[in-house]
Amino acid sequence: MGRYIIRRLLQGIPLLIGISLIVFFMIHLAPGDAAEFALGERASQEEIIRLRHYLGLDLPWYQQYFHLMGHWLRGDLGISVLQQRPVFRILGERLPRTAELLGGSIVLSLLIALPIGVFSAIRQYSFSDNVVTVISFLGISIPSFWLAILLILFFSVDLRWLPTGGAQTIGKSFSLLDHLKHLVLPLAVLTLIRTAGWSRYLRSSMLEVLSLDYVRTARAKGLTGREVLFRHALRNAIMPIITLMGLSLPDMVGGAIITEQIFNWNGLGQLTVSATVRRDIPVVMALVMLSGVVIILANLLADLCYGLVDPRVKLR
Amino acid sequence: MAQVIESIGIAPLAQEAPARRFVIVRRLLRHRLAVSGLIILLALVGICFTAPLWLPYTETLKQVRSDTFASPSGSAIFGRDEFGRNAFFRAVYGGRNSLEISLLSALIATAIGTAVGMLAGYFGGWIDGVADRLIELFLTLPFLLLLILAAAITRPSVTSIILILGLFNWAVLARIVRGEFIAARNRDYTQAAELIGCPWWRIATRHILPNAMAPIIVSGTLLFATNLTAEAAISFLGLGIQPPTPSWGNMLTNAQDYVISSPFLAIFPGLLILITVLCVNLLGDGLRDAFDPKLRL
Repeated sequence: MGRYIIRRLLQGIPLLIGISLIVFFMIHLAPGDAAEFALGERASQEEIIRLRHYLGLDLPWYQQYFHLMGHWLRGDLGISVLQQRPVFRILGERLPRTAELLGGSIVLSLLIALPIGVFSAIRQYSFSDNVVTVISFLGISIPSFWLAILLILFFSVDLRWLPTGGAQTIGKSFSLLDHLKHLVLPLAVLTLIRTAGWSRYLRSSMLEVLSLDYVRTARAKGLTGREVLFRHALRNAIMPIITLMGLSLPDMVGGAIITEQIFNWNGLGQLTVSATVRRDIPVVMALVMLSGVVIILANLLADLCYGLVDPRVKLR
Repeated sequence: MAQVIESIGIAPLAQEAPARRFVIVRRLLRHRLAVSGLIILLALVGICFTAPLWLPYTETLKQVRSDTFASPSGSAIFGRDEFGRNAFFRAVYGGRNSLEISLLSALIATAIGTAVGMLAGYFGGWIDGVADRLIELFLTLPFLLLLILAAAITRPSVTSIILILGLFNWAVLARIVRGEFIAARNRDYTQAAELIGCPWWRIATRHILPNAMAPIIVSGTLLFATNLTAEAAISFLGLGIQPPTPSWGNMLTNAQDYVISSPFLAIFPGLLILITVLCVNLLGDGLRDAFDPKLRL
């Protein structure tokens, strides 16, 4: 087990190096650099050249790459070109915002999807199952930003119940209630979409398990429906959800980009867009690495969970 | 009794079983939701792609200055935008672009994914090692960030967006195809084909590939849906096809600035994306069921 984990982690290292090279190279192919974005359109060519030289952006790309790698090897993530602050601190400010959004939506989605998935599997093809199927297909298919626009139109513009964006009311001091009000809509968008997918998966894996021999055996032994359902079937049906949960962790960095953007939520997703568009290389690279590390760890975690839930799975 | 024997023993000899693809089509047609999805999709594709026959492109650019932000009415059923352009006409040509992008990029991604998965799964060894690393690399790269960078490098056009989505979205499919080929590699029919001296490319494409068609078609269909949403997402970040060329994504993005005063400008393009993606998903689900021999339809 321990050796398996270590081997998997070691395999991740070349992967991360590959990712960092690809992304770094792509940023360099993209027109414009941080010096231009920092000074704006009215800056003279000389000013741009001077700033570029000051920031070291006129060096060949591989020198810049190794410079950044030097920072990483020393354990810090470098300094943001545009903000002139350590990248570590910038990420530290943004991470909690994204964490509450994604953590909240993962927990809520699980709480909603679990009963829905089990229920529609037991009542397969009943009226309520069909209703759930239609709704979850809508949820899987709806573009997240369009759903966000509809929710804003309804709850913020028409009803005036909830704010349209941001994490707190501007000009007011921070209060928890105010913050939670801002959290509702983005959380709803992410939760609705995730719940739709998860309940669908849970339904089909539940159906598969319910048709297996050991469930029939349990029934034949005279166990009550509830015992069979929760002690025997659900435990095995939950497997694909574990993988899905593991795979939705990488959303920490990437998946909420659009939602954060539309609700002006100052988390990692919004940072990803602004840093990429303005070519703040150290920040982009840190975000890419962070998401790479999370994806590798999440995959490993999902595989380990498989081993724990299903004794037939052997990890080598 | 005689009848029973006849039905199990003699009938199959007397008449040949219908070809597998007809069986699949028949099974799919029994899936009501999938068929409705397919019909709506075909209708949308038909309307959008025949547009040049019944609607000159210049109509989408015509500005009626006195009628900016006009609500939906008989002459402009989706209303008019900030320049007084007919939003329905723009949606028709926008759909042409959006559908073309998502269809072609899904085809490219399916082709790359199938080729990579096929070579990796068939040959194994170092080829598989390289391909598997490549697949893993593309699965670990944050997709949207990659799209942002790629869209910044190329000047956004229909062709560039097709290529970007096609070149970056094949890894999931490649992994599935690879698994299918690894499983088929040791089957008797593969070894039999090898023994009679069949060349590898023939075994791979004519013997194994047809057996792996089910997951390829299903994931290819779903890629179409993913890419349609992705096109809209890139547009939403301002890096998609640039106006005045319309796409459902950039119409939606553009409408965002006026969403409070003229919500209909955002509602219709979004609704079209939703309907298309929904139909594709229903079709994909139906195909999956039709290909699954364990399911009775």
